[in-house]
Amino acid sequence: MSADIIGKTGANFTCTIDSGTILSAYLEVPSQPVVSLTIGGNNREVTVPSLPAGQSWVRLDLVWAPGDSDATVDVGTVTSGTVATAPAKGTITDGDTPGYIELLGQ
Amino acid sequence: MKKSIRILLLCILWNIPYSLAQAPAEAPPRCPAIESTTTLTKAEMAFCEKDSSPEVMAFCENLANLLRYAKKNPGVNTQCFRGLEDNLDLTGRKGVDHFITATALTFATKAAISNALQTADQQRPDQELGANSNASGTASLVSKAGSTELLSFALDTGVVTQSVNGTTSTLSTNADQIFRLITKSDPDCIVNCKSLGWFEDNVLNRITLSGSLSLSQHSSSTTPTSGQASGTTPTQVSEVSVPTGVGKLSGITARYEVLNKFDPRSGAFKTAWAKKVPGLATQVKTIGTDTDAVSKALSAHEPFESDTMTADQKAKRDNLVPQMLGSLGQAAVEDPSGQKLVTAFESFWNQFVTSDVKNDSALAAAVSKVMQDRGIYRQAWLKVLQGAVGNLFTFEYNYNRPANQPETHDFKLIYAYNFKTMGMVTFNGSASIYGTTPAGAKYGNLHYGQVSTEYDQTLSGNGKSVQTQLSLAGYWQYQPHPSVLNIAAGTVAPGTDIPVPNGTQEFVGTAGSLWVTQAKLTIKGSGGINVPIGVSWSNKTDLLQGSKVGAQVGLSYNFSSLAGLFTGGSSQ
Repeated sequence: MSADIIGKTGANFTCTIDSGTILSAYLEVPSQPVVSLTIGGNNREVTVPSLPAGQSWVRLDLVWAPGDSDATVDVGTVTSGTVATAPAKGTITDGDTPGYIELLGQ
Repeated sequence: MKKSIRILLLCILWNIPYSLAQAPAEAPPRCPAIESTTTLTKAEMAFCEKDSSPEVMAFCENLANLLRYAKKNPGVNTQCFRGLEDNLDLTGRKGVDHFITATALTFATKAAISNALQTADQQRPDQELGANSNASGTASLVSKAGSTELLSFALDTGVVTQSVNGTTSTLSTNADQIFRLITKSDPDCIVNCKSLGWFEDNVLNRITLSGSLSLSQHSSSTTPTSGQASGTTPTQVSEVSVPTGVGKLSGITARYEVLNKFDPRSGAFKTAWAKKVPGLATQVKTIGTDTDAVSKALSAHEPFESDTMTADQKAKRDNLVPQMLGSLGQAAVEDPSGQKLVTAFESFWNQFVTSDVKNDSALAAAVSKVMQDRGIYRQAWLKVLQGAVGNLFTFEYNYNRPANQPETHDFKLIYAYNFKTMGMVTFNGSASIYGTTPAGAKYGNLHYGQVSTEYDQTLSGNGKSVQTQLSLAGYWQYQPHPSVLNIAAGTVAPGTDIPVPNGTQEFVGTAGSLWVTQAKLTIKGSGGINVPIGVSWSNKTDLLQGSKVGAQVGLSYNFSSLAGLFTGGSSQ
């Protein structure tokens, strides 16, 4: 199974994008309520407090400035657990809102 | 026995390579980085940008990114395409944004965008849709800085500076929107519309053109006669005027919106942008929530992503979707022209976007809601952009053909400052010059110079379907010579039967200052309809002495989007 970010269930880490501005972010886990996430890092970083088991998504409500390019998804700071990006990093096309980051907890 | 041992050995040898292949865990491939910082060129998107299928157009950027990666990294591991292929997965969350764009037309939601844009336009106090202040039929004393976004039609009656009262119809259009409509180049894009180049950004996008037709001026042609048909008058008439039209082109206007120069990469712009962007939080959150609702509506259709899939359904999806996505990467590798990729994507689309999906009314409603959100967001985004780059200046050129007067060229600068809840102030400064001055004319090229100002404030109904806006305006014009009146050929001098020679002009009225004040109430209805009703007072008019109190009334219709143009903006 593929995802943008794969890690150990329960890991605490941040996801980053290198373009666009995040105004709100949510963790979407199947059959569970949507959880609001903390935004930091100059509005380009969100904290996932505990990586859910299985497939989940981070929804980023984005604003794009003129001249912004596509955003590449990456892992920022890993506070606990193990987390890595897929060999081919995920991207979000400029102008798209919301943007989604797919997570996989194992 | 020997035979049994030989068979056993053969089985062991047969299985060795298979076991060796399975034993070590496969190391993840090293994938070259995706070139996300370089914007796709027009050439790179040529294979899909103008495709006849809305789905190919909607996903074109993602298709082009995949093709670019395949071309730049020949022989790369197929796993490296995953991130780019996922953006083309119309069955998952990552493809839902573009799925909405692609199906908007199918679900007839363009009208919904049009309605949303018209609602947003209704709030704008800065748009000029009618004729200029020097037209014989106008309701505007001061020109506004903003223009129509696509197409508008205005009908005005009543004058403010001219003596000749009339009715003028004005058709205005934005050059870029018409260009996008004709070239089918993403005409209803939301933000960061793909630019077609410098000329579009700096010329077409900023130009609004309008033509005014005076409905009370009949045009005519002169033709020789061949003798009297009846009557006993001894004077022979050698030529007569034949009516050829009931309306006459009274002016052509070109407006150029001069944005303050900015560089999106400059620190100054970034700081200004960062300050303004939080104002969009509500709009983007609404789009996000409503986009999730589309995903939820899609989850009712197999194999779209769903929280409630059974194990069998999930296994089926996990087998089918990666296979389809893999075929896209394969097509990109096999054909650098992109044609195979388009064909593979079409096949992917047709397999999953079935008639069940297209006929799902809940999905249609969800897509429609997102499209409305996007329309409103687009307006807000443009407003934020405008705020970040500074206030708007507009330059206006008007070729004017008043009745029985020399043609003029008017040049106007318009500046607007919006105090938001405190209203908006607009300033105009202009000069008017005569187009041609006949031999022996006792006046120069300068017709007049003028300055004017207007204050606009929404009085009532903010956010409601019917709003009212109050405008108070003041106008001062200085003219070095009295106005010039053309005496038409064939005119006979009063009390005589002596015809006046062709091309004769007379000074009429007085030179000096012309003052006009106006109070106007504009009723702004939903659907882009505006009705301005004004009362003005002037110390004189261009041709006549003495103060004049006049009334002006108009009606305008503003088409905010292409959908509005073809549907009237009211149908869903």
